[in-house]
Amino acid sequence: MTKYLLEASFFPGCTMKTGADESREPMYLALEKLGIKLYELEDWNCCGSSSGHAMGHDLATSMGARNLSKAPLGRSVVIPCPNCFRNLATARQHLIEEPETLKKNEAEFGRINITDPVLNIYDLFHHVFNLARMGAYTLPEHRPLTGLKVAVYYGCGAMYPKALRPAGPPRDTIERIISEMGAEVVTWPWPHKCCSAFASAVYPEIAEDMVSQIITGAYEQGADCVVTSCAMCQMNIEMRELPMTNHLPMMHLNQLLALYLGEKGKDHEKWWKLHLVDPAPMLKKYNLWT
Amino acid sequence: MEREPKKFSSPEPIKVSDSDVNFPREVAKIAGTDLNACLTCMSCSGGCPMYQYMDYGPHGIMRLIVLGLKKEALTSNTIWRCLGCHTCAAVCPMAINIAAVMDYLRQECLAEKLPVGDKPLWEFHRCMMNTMHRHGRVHKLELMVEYKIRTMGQGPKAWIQDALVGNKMILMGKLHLMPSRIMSTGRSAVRKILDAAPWKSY
Repeated sequence: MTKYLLEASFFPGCTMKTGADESREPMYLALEKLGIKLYELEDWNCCGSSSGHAMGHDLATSMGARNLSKAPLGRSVVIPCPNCFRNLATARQHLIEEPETLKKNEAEFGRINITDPVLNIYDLFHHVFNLARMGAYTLPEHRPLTGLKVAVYYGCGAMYPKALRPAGPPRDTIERIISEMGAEVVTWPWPHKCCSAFASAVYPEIAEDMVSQIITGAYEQGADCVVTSCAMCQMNIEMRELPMTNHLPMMHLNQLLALYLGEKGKDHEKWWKLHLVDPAPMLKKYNLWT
Repeated sequence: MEREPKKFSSPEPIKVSDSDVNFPREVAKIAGTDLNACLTCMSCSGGCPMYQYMDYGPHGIMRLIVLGLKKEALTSNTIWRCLGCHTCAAVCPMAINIAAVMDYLRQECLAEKLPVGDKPLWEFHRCMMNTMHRHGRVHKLELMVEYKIRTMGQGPKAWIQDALVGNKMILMGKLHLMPSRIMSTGRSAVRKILDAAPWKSY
């Protein structure tokens, strides 16, 4: 019996590694409080996201295969970025379905771990909160996020091909976590809308068009903030909502978890400084932060 | 960017005489489903966030493939303006993996050295592949700087675009200055994978 609730391999992804400190630090805090130990994959490479799979089918599979070859057996791979998750899970699917591809990649990278599942980090949190609700696990000391109205935004990272997730995109995962934390979930039209991804850098006017739909949708339903699990979406939306009249703070799911599980104090200050739209006034209003 | 008038509503008829019979079969291997299963229900185009900026839209591309109109499909801007958000694949009632089809068409376009439908987006893809080639991982700041340099020819609007907010994010520390790299053995393995793909020789 280990002292941890769960041990897993961890694939951070490029966005979480070089940027998005305001999401990474609360994530480690929340994981530590929940007793989950993650071991970062040794020498991982890019998952082959957005451009990788667009530029080569074998390329995306091989990039995923190399990452999975670094994963030790017996530990599932946890991924904080929805897009990385989709790419690695797709690569794993290809490796399982096509023995030829698996053989070719194993010759290149050595044993590839396709037996252990690839998990999205919010699925992991969802699992822990489910255990807590069933009484199988006692949550550490926490303070509920009472009164906060949250619009849950999965981003297009939650849209999977039918082979990967036949039941369709998740509609009750982050929502469940948020309501377990005592906050209020807002029903709104765009939980799975694309944030414009890389087109934001090329055609800002398209990005502004899409982001205005998302933010206006959340605003009209009376949300205080939008919460997402994708660091890329968070950055895109924050950048593009700046010129708009009604802008809402964009929160990471990890930050809400850290507020729920962590201590109330000034240690969170540097996270809010990394936001283009400052969430501190909203948090002060609900007495979540000094 | 202007909204794109749809090509299929133009008075010119589509020429089926020069269609490629093998093309639908090749695509079917990638899609996992025979594309004749397509109902033309337009769910894909209805959900597509970029539909208004595309010349055919996802359902139009599906039709072009079924008709075997390879050249029209590969030179359209639809395949480049697809963001890979998988909304089409998730909503398709016949479980056609449309996003994977779009990926395949882009690769074919590069492999056959046909003109790309949307130059700036292709340049962006190339810059991202270049950072991946250099470090084995993507570095956002370097990617943006390289993209700015490569698209300098587009005029002053492209130079100042997002310069202010970009610099602000660097100063805030939201974007790290230094890239995160993988070890040299891993780097050569990644480079080998990248060099085998068709984008390299385009």
